[in-house]
Amino acid sequence: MQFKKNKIVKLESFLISKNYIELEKKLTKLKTIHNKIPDKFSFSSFVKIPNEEQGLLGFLEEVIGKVKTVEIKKFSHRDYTILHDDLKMEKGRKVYFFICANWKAEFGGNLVFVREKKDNFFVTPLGNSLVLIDKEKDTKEFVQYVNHLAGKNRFIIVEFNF
Amino acid sequence: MSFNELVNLEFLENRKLVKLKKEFLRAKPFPHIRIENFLKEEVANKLLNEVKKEEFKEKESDLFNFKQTDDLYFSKNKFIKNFNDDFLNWEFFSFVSQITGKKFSGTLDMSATLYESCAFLLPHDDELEGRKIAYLLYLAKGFSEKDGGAFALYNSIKGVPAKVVKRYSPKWNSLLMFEVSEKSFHEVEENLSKKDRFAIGGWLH
Repeated sequence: MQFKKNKIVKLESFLISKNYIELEKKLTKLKTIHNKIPDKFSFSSFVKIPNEEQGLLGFLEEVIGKVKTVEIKKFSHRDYTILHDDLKMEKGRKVYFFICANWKAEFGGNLVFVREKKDNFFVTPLGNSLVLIDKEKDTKEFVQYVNHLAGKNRFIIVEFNF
Repeated sequence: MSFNELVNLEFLENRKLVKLKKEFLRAKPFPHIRIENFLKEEVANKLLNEVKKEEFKEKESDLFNFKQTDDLYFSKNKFIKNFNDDFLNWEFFSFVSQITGKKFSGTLDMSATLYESCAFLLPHDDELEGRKIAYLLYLAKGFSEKDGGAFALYNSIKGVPAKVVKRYSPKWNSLLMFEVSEKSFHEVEENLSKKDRFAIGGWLH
């Protein structure tokens, strides 16, 4: 019902705990490289797209539909994304899955959806939670700057484009 | 008071102005200058005390998170209003013009900003129609490099900012000016301290 009305929904404790912990362990061990275009974004991405999220992908394909692309990004202190003119503005369904522990809204790093004529929608990273959104053409999203209160904490977002 | 009575007089001497102009034009990665001990010390102290009484509004977007007043032209505080009037004056425009070589239409934006702990302004170029020179007068006390809050300048390659090549900690009573262009990429690094980083700034058009 909530999804039908708002075109966005958050689901917590999504994977079975054992599977989530396994996925988290595997992903946090993998090597990343830092990407930065100062006026657009700053985050780390995985050198090789791991196939550890295959189980999740298979499940999403079963319940939602064919996944076109998967992106995995890691954010820590001083990382961010900025809205800019080169951003692709595509209508479509998207899923964001979070991997992290003990993240707090005050650290920044919240995923913010900006939609015309609607209030911004904030999602604070929460491990093993998932956001499903039906993006309109004018929906844009950014990840708030991660401030020093985050310390050594970091979070991973797995983005599935349908 | 007039502008000339607010600032340290050495900056108004012709010989000094010629030196400052050279420094401004030669600065990398784009023309800029920082002038230390700009205002007379008692003026700077009084200004900070009065600025603290202004109403600061929360400004937050993908690009920034800090607090800012409305344009000080509309301030109801007599000292602040007079200060704004003294800068919105041919003496200040002439001073900036002699250093930067720019001619102005006579429009001045001026507001106060407050960067509390965790506040930031991510990289951007400031370009907007009419803006020629950006200026910042720092009223922050006791900031050192480890406190963050630095004004950082980026070099750029083919119009894309590349990396920080210069940093200025917000030094008490220093005036920083830079030429606004498609190359003037800069940021205010996060305030890592618990100190309040006050400044007055804006643009000359």
